[in-house]
Amino acid sequence: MGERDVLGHGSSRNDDAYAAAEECVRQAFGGREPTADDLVLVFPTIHYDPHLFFAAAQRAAGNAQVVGCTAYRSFTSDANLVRGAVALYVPAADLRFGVAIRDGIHRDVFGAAKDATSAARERAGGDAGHSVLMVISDGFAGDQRAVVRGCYTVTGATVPMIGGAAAEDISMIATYQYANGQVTTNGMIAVWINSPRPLGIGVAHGWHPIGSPMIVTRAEKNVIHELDGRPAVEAYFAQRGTDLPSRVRDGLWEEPFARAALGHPLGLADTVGRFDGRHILDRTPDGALVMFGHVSEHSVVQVMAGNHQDLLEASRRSGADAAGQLDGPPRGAIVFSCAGRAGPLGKEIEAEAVSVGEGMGGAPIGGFFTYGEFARVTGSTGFHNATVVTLAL
Amino acid sequence: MQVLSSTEAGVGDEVQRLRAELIEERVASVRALARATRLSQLITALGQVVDLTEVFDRAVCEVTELFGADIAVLFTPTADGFRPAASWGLGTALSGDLPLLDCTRRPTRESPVVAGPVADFDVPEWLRAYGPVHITWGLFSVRDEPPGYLVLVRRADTPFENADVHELAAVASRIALAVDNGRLYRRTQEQLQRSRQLHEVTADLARSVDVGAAAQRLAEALVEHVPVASAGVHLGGGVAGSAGEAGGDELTLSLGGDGSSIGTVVVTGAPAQGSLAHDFLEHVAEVGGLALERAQLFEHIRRQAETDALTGLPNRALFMGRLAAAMERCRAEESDLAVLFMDLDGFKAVNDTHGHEAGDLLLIEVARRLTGAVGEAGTCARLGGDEFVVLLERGDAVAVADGIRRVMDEPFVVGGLRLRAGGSVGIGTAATSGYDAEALLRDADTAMYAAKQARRQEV
Repeated sequence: MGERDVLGHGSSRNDDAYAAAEECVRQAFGGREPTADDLVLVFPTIHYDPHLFFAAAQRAAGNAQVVGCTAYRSFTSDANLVRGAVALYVPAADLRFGVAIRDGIHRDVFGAAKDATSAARERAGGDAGHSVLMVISDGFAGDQRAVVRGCYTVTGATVPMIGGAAAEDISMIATYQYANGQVTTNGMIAVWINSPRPLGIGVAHGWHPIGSPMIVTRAEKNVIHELDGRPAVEAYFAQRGTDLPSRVRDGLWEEPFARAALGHPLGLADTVGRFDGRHILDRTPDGALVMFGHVSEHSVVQVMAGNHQDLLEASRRSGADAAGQLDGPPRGAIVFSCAGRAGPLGKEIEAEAVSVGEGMGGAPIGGFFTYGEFARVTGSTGFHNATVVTLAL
Repeated sequence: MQVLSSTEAGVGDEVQRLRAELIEERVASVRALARATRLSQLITALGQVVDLTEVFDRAVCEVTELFGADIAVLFTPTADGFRPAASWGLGTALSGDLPLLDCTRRPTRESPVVAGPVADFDVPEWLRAYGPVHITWGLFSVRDEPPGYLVLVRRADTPFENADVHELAAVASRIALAVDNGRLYRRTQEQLQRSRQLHEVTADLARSVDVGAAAQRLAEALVEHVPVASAGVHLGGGVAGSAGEAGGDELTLSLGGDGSSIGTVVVTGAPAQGSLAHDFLEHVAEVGGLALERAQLFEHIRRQAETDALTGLPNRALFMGRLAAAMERCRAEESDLAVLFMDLDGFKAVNDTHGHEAGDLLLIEVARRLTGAVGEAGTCARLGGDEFVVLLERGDAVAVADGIRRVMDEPFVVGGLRLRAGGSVGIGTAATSGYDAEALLRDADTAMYAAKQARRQEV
């Protein structure tokens, strides 16, 4: 793998959408001339007009295929932005990309995911060697599990899946996605990657459960109505205990609930005793919790907490696991990190990208903080919250 | 100091050990809880669907996720193999008969789940392509039917544990129950659909008051809704209605439910005995019989209401109806028509001399001669008593009137009596009456009286 094929990254803090897109894409190319087979990923924060930004990014990227979405934060090996944009340049080299996008997915999330995945596979020329599906969905799609299920009907067990849900600044208003020249706000992008050699995928979170396990006694799709027979919001607060003084609790109703709940997602217990994070999107007036993904009735959940040491150790592990699956040295990595990690990481949030990079042995990386991550290697469940997902190339 | 630090170290280790134990216990309790609720999750998920295809699709998806597997395939038996009724994780749907896997210890009704590493199984080529590492193979049986199988595959080196195997046995029986419920639901839905169809067909047939139209609709309904290849409705020996192209075995059903058959319906390509569709065919034939009986009765009543009971000729009501319709046509076409009014000259004398019975027999004979004289040229009717009318839309009215007079003047032989009646005939036309039916009838009546006076004077 030559210098020409190394993952390129760029960033910009410029407030002007056009200038920011131009700057980060140009930096990512690093003087290289892109071809139509190459892929450019762009992750702007929500502060730009998405139509202006993505159009400018496409112009700057020339013939290359541009895919992107809005982010909570974006990062590269040497930039970490609360406000700005990053671009990743993935030269095709021995990879083949097929890109498809679908809009208005709320009508049928499962069907849209299945359809987009089929189209992306076809554009990549079918399965070849070691295929991987990369997915970007609207963070407010509702049931992200349906995204995974729709994709899984096409990929089957042999093609792993990674990706992230588009995010914003926790205003909980709208996210944007971009591919094939189309900007969507309730869309889903599938990027089918065919590779002649294995690609690496790492998933880790570093959170731990607090309080006691609870059973979801009433739920419907991504809304938990009752936990242990009590209204879900009430049971959730009871488990959070003393970390939430009544003054703070009253204030929670004044701001997006997701912001208050971000540092304490629910963990969905599996039968080997592991927890899969599920972030809270909102609550309803009758005391139900609205989640980012589907939670089944009778499943076991526990409130999660984290500290920056454990979370950063998980970031490093995610990078190292991904790099460890490659045949040779990594060209770089695309990273999807959960916006919910911002709480426990606190001031150390910039260290997340550094830790993934360390795990990758210093290979270039870039990515964004999401509203949910997709990662499926074994087992057929693949939607996560609170994790760091790394795709090593 | 040395002792103290060693003690400190000991306490530290102990705290570490206790903490680790505590975490392990917590993990164990969460695992136990997650396991305990796993089956309930599946039951809830399966409870949300009733359609058989959805039950299968939901089952493979949920079982795969709940048991940390990558692939699940649900096989149902076919005539000479197994068909994947649903699969999860295969990527592309496999269809047609597929070879099942095999092993020395197949699942049985008594021990419905076996599990082990892939080496324990004889794995068919199509499954080997997915790189299975651990497999469970469960049997589910619905009532006394041949069993179906659920195959679960893990591609990671995580063996299925005993707890998994026990729960999968419960899962298999739960799937069997859902399948049974699904079939019941499908049958109920089909019955509901059939009863809706029957209602529609019944309502449609009940609207028909014309026997020919009802017979045709019945034949069409059988071809469209049962469906059969062809249907022919036979009433009184003739074919009253038919639809479709004949194909398959012929089946004859009686029309009418209580033994008083009014005809038969002959169908080809009827559905198999015992099927819902066959029951439906019998219901439609029964309903069709009733509808045809009703249409026949309606026709009979209508005939009675429009016919003179003694002579069988149209009565005043029917005549006036036909006259009004004919007048409308004439007015529109600016053409003309004539009404001939005939009254017997000696009817009262016959009645008075020989009684009403002889009078009635005379009237029947008069009607016969009248229709014979008019033939196809017009419509004859009896208005009442010895008054008859003829509607002539074309032809020479004067010639027809002469013909009538001639046949009426011939002697009648009724009940062994030789009688003379004679008839006076008056003519009225639409144009001179201003296209008014009542006026036209009055004009003809007046002309008839004038003719009668003239005949008397001749005598």
